[in-house]
Amino acid sequence: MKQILNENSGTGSYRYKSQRGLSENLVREISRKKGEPAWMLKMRLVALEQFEAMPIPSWGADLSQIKWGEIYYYLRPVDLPYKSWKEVPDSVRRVFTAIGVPEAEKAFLAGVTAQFDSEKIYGSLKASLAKQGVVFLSMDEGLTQYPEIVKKYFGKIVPYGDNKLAALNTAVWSGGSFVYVPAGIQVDLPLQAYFRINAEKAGQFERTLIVVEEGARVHYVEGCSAPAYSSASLHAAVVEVIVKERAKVRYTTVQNWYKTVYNLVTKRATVAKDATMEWVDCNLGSRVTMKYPSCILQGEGAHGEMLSMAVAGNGQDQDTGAKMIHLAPRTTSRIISKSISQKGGRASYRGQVKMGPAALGSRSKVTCDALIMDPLSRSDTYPNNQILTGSSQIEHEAYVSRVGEEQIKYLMSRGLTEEEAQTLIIRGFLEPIVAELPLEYAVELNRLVKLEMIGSVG
Amino acid sequence: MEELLQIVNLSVEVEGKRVIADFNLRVGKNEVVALMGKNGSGKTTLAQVLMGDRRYQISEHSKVLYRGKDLLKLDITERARLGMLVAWQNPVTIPGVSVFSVCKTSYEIGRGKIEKLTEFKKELESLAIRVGLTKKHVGRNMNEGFSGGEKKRLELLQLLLLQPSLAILDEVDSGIDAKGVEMVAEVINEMKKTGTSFLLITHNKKMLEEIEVDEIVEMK
Repeated sequence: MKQILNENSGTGSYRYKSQRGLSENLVREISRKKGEPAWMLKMRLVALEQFEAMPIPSWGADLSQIKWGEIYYYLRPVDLPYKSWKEVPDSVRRVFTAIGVPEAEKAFLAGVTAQFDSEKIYGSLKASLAKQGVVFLSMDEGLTQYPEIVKKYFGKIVPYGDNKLAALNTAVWSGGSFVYVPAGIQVDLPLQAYFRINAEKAGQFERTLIVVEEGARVHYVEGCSAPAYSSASLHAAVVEVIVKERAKVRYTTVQNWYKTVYNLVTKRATVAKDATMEWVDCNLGSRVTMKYPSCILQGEGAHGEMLSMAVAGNGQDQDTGAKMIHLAPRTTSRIISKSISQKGGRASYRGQVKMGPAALGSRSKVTCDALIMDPLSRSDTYPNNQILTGSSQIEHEAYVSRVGEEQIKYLMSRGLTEEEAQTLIIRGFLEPIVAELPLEYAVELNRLVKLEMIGSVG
Repeated sequence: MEELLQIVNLSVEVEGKRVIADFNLRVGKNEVVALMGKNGSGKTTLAQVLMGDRRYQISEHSKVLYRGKDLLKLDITERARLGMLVAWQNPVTIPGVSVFSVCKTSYEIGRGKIEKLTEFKKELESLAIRVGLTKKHVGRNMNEGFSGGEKKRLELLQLLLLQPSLAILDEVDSGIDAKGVEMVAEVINEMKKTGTSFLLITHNKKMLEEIEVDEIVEMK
C-alpha cells in the first residue's frame, strides 16, 4: 500500500482509471494488471457474459435509474474523488462540521494522511495474527499468496450465475478482504477492515472471502465513518463465508453510503454441523440498498443469526432482510430486523426462511420491528416462509410503531428540540442492535444516526 | 410581588369550539396558585397552551407573558428551556427510551454535561425512592407498563430533578394514594422555598390544605 501511495504522490492523480462502461477488454485489463492466474480471468469473462444475459432484478427496489454504461468499473485503490477539503460538496462538509468530525477524518476524505496511519495499525494487527496462522489480507493479496485456498472457495458460495449483481462483481471485482482462520484458533479481537477498506474505498466492487476452519472463531467488522462519498453510483459487493464444523463467525457491517449510491450486495455463508454464523448489518445512507445476508444451514445443529437495522430518509429506499435456508436436522435461526423510516423514506423487510425436507426438528424465529417517524414515510414487510418438513417451525412477528406527535411533544416539554427528541427515540429503538457492536462501532453508529437526522433536516 | 406568569384575556378554540374565554391569571415569584374547576372547564387545555402545544387556536387579543417575554411566540422547547415545566396529566409511553436517558438529556440541557454518570444515577435512584418509585424504575422505559400513579410519580421525579422556575402540574395528585398525596404536598412546599413557583391544577381540596397556597383561582 505504501508503494502505491508513493507512486501516487508523485502524480497526484489516478494511477489507473478505466473507461466508462463495461467490456471484455476492460475485464481482461483488470485481470492483467493484477497478474491473476488464468482461472480467475476465465471466471471473470464467463461472469461478464452472465451479467449481460441476466435481466435487471425487478422484484425489489427500483433500479431503472442506474446508468450502467456511465459507470467506471475499475479504479485503482487510493483513487479518491476529491483532492482537497474544498472540493467536497457543501452538503457533505456541512454535516461533517455539524458533528465535529475529527480533523484526521477530514484529512482522510481529502486523501491526505490517514492512509499512512491506518497502514501502521493494519500492519501490526497482521503480525500478531500471523503467529497463529490467521490470514487477513486484501482479496488481491489473498489470491496472490494463497491461490489454492482462494480457488477452492471463490465463487462457490455465491456463484456468478446467482444474480446479475453477483455476476457483475465476479467480472470486475477489486479489493475486499481475504480471511482464513485455521482449525481451533479463537481470534479474540475483531478483525477490523475499517481502516483498510477506507483506504481502498474507491473499489466499488469489492469481494470478500472468509474461511473459518473447524472449531475456530472470528469476528470480522467492516465499516466506514464518513458518508462514503463516491462519484460512482453503484456499489456491488459479494461476501462469501465458509463456517466449518463447530466454528463461529460473526460478520458486522456498519455502512453509510452517500445518498446517490445504489448499494446492491450479496452476502452468503454456508454453516456446517454445530457451527454458528451471525450477521450484524447496519445500513445507513445510499439511495437504494438491496441486501439480504443469507445462511445456508447445511450441517446438523447449525445456527444462523441476523441482526439488521436500516435507516431510510428522504428519497431513500432501504430494502433489506435475510435468508435462512435450513437443509439439515435440528438447525435453528433467528432474524431480528429493525428499520426506521423518516421524512418520506421507505424501509422494507424482505426475508426468506426455508425448511428443506431434511430439516427435521428445526426452528426459526423472525422479528421485524419498524419505526415510522412521520406520515410521509413508509415501511413494508415481505416475509417468505416455506416449510417442506412436518416437524419444523417458523415463527414470524412484525411490529410497527409510529412515533406519535405526543411523544415528541412530551420530550420537547423537557427541553429537547424536536430533532433531539427524535434522535433519543431512534437510539432507544436501536439499542438492542447497538449493544451487539464493538464499542467503537457502537459510538460510530450513534453518531451516524445523529448525522442522518441532521443530514435530512438541512 | 413580582410577576412570573401573566395571562391576560386568553381565549382558546379547539376545532372551532371555544374552550377558554377571556381568562386572566397571574403567578408571582415563589407563589403557589391553585387552579380549580369542573371537568371540561379548560384546565388541561390551559396547561397545554402554556406548554406550547400548537393544536389550539389562540385568539389574537390574548396575551401571555412569562418573565416578561411573549410566551405565545415561543415553541415548546424554548419555553422549557426558560425554566417552565409542565407535568402532564397523562404522561406518554416512549418505547425503548429509558427514564435514565430522558432525565440525563433534559438535565444536561439545563446544566451542561454530567461528568459523573454513576453519581447522577444514584441521585436519580434516590429521587425515585423519594417520590415512591423504586431504583429499578430509573432503568425502565418511559412509562412503559407504569400504573397511573407511577406515571405521576415519574413526573414528580423530573420536577425534583430539573428544579424549574415555574411548574405547571396538571392533576399530578390524581391516581396517587393518600400517603402519596402527602408526599406531593411536601415536594411542593419544599420546592417553593427553593425558588419554584407553581400553577397547580387539582380537584383535591384536602391536598391544598397541606400546601402553602397563595391564591386559588376557579376556572368556569
